[in-house]
Amino acid sequence: MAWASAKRSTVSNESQQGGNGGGQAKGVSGAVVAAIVAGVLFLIILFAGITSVTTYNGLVNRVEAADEAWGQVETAYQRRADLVPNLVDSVERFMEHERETLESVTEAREGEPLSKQLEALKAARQSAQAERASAPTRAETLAKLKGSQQQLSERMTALMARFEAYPQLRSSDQFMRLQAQLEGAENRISVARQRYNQAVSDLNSALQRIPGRWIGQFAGFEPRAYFEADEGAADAPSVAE
Amino acid sequence: MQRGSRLIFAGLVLLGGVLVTTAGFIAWQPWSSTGGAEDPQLVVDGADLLGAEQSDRIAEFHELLRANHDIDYRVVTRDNVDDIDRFAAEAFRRREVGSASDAGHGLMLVIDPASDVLRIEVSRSLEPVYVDAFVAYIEQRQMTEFFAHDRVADGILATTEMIVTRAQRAEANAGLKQTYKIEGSAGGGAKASARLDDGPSARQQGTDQQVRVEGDGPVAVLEAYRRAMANRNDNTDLAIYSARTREFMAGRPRTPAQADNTARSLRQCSVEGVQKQGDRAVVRYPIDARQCPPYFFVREEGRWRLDLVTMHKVVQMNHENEWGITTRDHPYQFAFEDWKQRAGWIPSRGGQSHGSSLVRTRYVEQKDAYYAKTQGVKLAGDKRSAVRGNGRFIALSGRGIRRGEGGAWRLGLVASCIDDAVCWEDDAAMWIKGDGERVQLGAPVRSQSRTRDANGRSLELSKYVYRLRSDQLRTLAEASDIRVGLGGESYRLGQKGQAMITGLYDETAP
Repeated sequence: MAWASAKRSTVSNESQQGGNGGGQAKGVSGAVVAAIVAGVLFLIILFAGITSVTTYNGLVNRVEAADEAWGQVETAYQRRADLVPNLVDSVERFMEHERETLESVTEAREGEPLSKQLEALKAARQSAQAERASAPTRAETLAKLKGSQQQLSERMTALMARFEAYPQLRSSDQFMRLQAQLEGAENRISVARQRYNQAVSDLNSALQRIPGRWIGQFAGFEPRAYFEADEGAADAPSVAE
Repeated sequence: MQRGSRLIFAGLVLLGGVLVTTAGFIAWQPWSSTGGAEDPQLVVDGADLLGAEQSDRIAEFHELLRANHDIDYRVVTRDNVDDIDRFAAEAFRRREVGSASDAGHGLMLVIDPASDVLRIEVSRSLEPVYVDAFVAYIEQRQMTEFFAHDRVADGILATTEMIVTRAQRAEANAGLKQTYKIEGSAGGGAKASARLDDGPSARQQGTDQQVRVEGDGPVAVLEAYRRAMANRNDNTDLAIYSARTREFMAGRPRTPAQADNTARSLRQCSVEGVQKQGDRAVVRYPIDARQCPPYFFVREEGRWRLDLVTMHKVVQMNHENEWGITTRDHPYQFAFEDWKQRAGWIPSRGGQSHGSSLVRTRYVEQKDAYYAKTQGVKLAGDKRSAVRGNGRFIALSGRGIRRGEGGAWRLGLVASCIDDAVCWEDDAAMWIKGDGERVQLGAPVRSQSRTRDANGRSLELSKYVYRLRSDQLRTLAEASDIRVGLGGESYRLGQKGQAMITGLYDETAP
């Protein structure tokens, strides 16, 4: 009997000890879970932070690139506009020099007299200068700008086309210089617009992708408008060789 | 339990790494798609318009343009490019034309034979120098005139000469100097019809007329020639030409730009004097006027006439548009003997010029210009030079120079060796030899650098500057055939493929 009692006592002591050890184990497990949760949260926040910062910086770079490309467009337009007074001057001196050949070009020919054509060119230039905006974001603003500049282009082209009908004028060095300046101005505009569109495409794509669209909205970045291709413009030539 | 914690910790670290990497990958969204530079070859003949030899010729010349004027000028031919303006701008960007220049100076000629159109694209940094009107001028008044005669390579090179002249004028006014590099093109340049199948152009109106010579004597004839060139008179039967000259000029392209250039040169150059001997005469300009070549005249039927045939053989221009005499074996040598006696110098071909007419470009001095050619280069036989066979080679190059205000004359040589070959080790092995004895040069000041040639191969440049005594200078100046030696081998001055020693060298020049 005493032995059974001792045994029971031993058993109950063992149970008591086992109950105390189980309580201690539960405490440790809770701390680990808390640490895991904290760690995961920290990593998520870190992940979000890195992504946000780098995405934001990338968007800033793209916006700067688009602004810089727009600056080139403006430079090209201004360069052409600056060309017009010289062009008009050159044509008037050219007319004086080639008076005999040009007699048939002025009043006697059909269409607009040359002097009026020159006046219209000057007016188109002033109009184009007035329409210029900086860093347009709205498509309609860009379309309006494009319209006035295109009118100026057409006026300049029409003026030169007038002389192309006369071989003796067309072969002169003076005409060659005028034509080169005009074509050069138009080509610079074309190149600048193309590069602007590429920069805008890059920006707009980044603002549509995730997480750029969220970061962009939060930071207030807006998509930009494109220069639309002129009618009859060819596709970009393949340069792969 | 400890093992469990370690596992959890490791898992967290792994998760963290994955998340950070992913964040970086998402954030790194390439926002410029320029891609790498394409082949930096100077001539890419995709349309098979030029032969291999012609391509090499052009590449050599353009390499000198880069070395002497820091202009990276490439040529691309390709059929059916559609819009040549856009093609040129895009190809300029993809090939990073101008990258071989410290200042970003780049030019690119695109020729589309199938569409019969060409364009020269100009980098931003060069637009102030090569304005659109000038580019149109050299295309239409020079290049395409040769193309019409089916001389494409000649047309390209003749135009490059005009580019060199323009660069020289710009450098004289500090027009090419820049403190920072501006890369890329903005659409500058011009395009023109290539006229590849046109045939020679119709003669200029009114040029069938003869020119009137006012007065007698070679100078009067030269003045009539100047007026004819000013009017772009391309009539090859002018009475001011000798009979042989008329035969020589028939069928050869005579471009408006050449006529303009000749007229300008004759207007700007002041005649120094006329040397006569029997039925021959030479109109000379001051020897320092390196862009004013002498003119030869022969008396036929009682009249003085231009002997352009002999001039063409004897007087030639180098890549810097400086005249030089190729040989002493000609009937007009009598006109140059007093130059030799008086000043001891006679300008020679290939930019190799001496004495007071030496020309040096300081920029080239700082640039470590070099020249390397893959074929026909003789290897140095001196074992101490450490030059091996099997495709490695050594080339010696120098450069045209401009005279400085004073200081000792020095011979500057640059040896370029491909791959890792050491050019040569024994500096004292260098010697020079003119018509007389061999003259041993002293120990040079030596420096080394590395660069790449037009094909992308690594080159070691060893630069040697030898101080010359006056007798050594005279040896170089007076000799008709100058050789520079390295150990047991020697190189003829100016001989292509072997050595390209093009001039003397003054380190004190401004």
